[in-house]
Amino acid sequence: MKTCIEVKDLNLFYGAFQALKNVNIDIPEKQITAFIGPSGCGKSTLLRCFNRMNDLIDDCRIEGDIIVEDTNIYGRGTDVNALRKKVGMVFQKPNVFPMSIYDNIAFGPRTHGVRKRRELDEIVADSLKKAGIWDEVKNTLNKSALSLSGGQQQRVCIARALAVQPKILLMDEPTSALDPISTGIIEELCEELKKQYTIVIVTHNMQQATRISDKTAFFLLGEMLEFGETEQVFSRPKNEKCENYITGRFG
Amino acid sequence: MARNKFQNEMETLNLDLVYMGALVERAIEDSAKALILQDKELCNKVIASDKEINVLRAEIESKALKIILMQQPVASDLRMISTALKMITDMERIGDQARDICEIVLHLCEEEYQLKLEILSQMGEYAKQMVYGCINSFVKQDIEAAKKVIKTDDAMDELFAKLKRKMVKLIKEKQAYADQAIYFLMVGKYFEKIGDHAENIAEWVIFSKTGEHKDIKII
Repeated sequence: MKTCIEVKDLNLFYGAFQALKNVNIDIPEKQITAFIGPSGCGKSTLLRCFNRMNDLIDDCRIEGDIIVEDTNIYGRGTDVNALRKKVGMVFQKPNVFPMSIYDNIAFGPRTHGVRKRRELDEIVADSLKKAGIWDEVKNTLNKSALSLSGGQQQRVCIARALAVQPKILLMDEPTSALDPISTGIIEELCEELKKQYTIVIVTHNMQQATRISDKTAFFLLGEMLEFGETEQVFSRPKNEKCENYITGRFG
Repeated sequence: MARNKFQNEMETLNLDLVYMGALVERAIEDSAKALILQDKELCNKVIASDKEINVLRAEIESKALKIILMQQPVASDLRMISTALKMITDMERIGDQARDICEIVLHLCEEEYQLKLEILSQMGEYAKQMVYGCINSFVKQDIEAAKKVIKTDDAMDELFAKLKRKMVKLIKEKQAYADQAIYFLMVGKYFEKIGDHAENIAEWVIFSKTGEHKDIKII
C-alpha cells in the first residue's frame, strides 16, 4: 500500500501547550483513514496540519516533518496555495458561500485561473456528479447554495473541494450536523470517492468509523496510541486506553 | 465511569451466565449421582431443572440481542456477547442430556445393576469435572483452565470407546444383559456428548479472550 501522507516525529505547540506529541503515522493512498479520540486529543489539529491550516493560528509552532506525495510541506519554499489545492477540506458545518451553487463550485477553479465558461461548466458538472448531488441541483445551478438542505450543502462543499482536483480530502466531522439519511449519503459517497482520493476523516461517531474507514488511528492527549486496520482496532485493540475509549468506558 | 447502563447490563448478563452454569453443573452432578444411587427423586429433580435451564437460555439470548441492538458493543464486549450466545446453546444441550440420562436411570431404577458401573461412573466424574472446568474458565476468564477441559475430552472419548467395546462383548456373551448394556451405552454416549459441549464452551471462552476459535481468527 503506497503512503500518501507521511508524518514523522511531529510535535505541535499552541504557545506553551503541546497539542501533538511525537506523532508518527503513514496515511495510505486511496483509502479512508479515521482519526478518533476524545475532544481535545489532537485529532483535528493533526488533520489541519495536512494542509497547513494551523499556520493561521497565532503561537502555533510545529516540529517534525509531514511529507505529502514526496514533498515536505513544512519545508522551505512550500507553496501553501498549491498545497491547499492538492489537499482539500470539508468542515463540520456546511459552509457554502452566500452565492449560487454554480459559483460555489467555480470559486476554486476561478481562483486558480480557469476563465473559460465551457471549462468551468464541465468542472462544475463533474464535481457535483462526483459529490452525488448533480441530479438534485442540475436545473437550479443559479439558485443560492444557502437555499439547499444541510445535507445538500455539505455535498456542495465536497463538490467545491473536488473542483480544484485535489489528491487528498480532509473531513472534520463532516456529518455531525446532518440527519441519518444525509449521513448515509455522505458515507456512501466517501466509499465512492476513495477510488480516486485519499480521505482522512475525523469522527466522534464510532459506528461511522467502523462503517467507512479502512484504517483507524486513536489519539489521546496529543499522542497517537493506536493505529491499525479498522477491523482490528474495533475488535482487538492493542492499547488498553483505546479499548476503554471505543467501548465507552473512558474516564 | 461512562456508560453505566451498558456496564450494568453486561454485568447482569455475566451473572445470568454464571447462574445458568451453576444450574447445569448441578444437573450433571445430580444425574451422575442418581445413576450410582438409583435415586428416582434426584432423577425427577434433574428433569424438572431442565425446564428452568431452557427458560434461562431464552432470557440470556434475549438480553444479549438487546445489548447488541441498543449498545452496539465492540472489541472485548462484542466477543463476550457472542461467547454468551454460543455458550448458552451448549449449556442448554448439557441440561437436555442430564435430563436424558435421568430418564434412562428411571428405567434402570426398576432393577438391580447386573453390570459394573466402573467405566460409567468414571465418565460421569469426567463430565462433572469438564462442566465445572469450562464454567470456571469462563468465570475466571482463564485460558489455561479452558485448555485443560479440551484435553480432558480425549480421555472421555477413550472411556466411551472402552465402554462400547465392553458392552458389545457383554451383549454377545449374555443376552440377559442386553437391555441393561444398551441403557449403559446410551448413558455413556450422553456423558460423552456432555464432554463435547463442555469442550465447545471452553473453546468459546478462549475465543472471548483471543478472538480465535480452534486457532482460526474469527474477529
